[in-house]
Amino acid sequence: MHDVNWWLMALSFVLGLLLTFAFTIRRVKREVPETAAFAGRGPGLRAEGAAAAGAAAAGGAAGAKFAGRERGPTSATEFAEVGESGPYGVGSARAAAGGSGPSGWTVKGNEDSMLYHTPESPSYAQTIAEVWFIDEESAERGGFTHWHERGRKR
Amino acid sequence: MDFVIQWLWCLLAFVVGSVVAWLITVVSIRRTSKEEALADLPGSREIGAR
Repeated sequence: MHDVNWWLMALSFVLGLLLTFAFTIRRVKREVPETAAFAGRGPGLRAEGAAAAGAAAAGGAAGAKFAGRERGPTSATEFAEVGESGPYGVGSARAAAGGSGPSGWTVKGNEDSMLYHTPESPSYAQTIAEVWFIDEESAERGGFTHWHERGRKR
Repeated sequence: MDFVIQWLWCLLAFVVGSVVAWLITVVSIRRTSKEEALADLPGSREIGAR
């Protein structure tokens, strides 16, 4: 250990440090993955998007219904209409542009993760709903998983 | 032989440097799930809806 070149050692140490940082740390780009399903559906979207969605998607009926409007449905009665043939069956409704839902509906659905959040969920407040469900049964019927179940599976 | 020993010491220093950097990274950057990351995005659900 007496004939070690300390300068070279320090250089190697710094090199290892910097290279590892370069490979492990990257600036976060805040982007939303754009999928066809996400862009094409939803009541508050632009008219041409709604027209395309109306042809193919299951939620097309709801999409076309509100295609002429600037924003999505806002009143509970409008949501109730949609609920008849909601994007995920009876008891489901597409969220308005701001993520708001019909009053009295408490279950939030996230299409990216296919999870539904009840008010007990720790991420309930920060989840911006894409779909609202009247109750948990409707969410289960629509193919969504309880937020807690997924956590246990991991 | 001296050269090889020097080289090994340098390699060791490099590895130690990497381990230190990795530890700093793991301690300082919290792991997050895809769902949480998406939920944290400000106004993500409004994109494409206007």
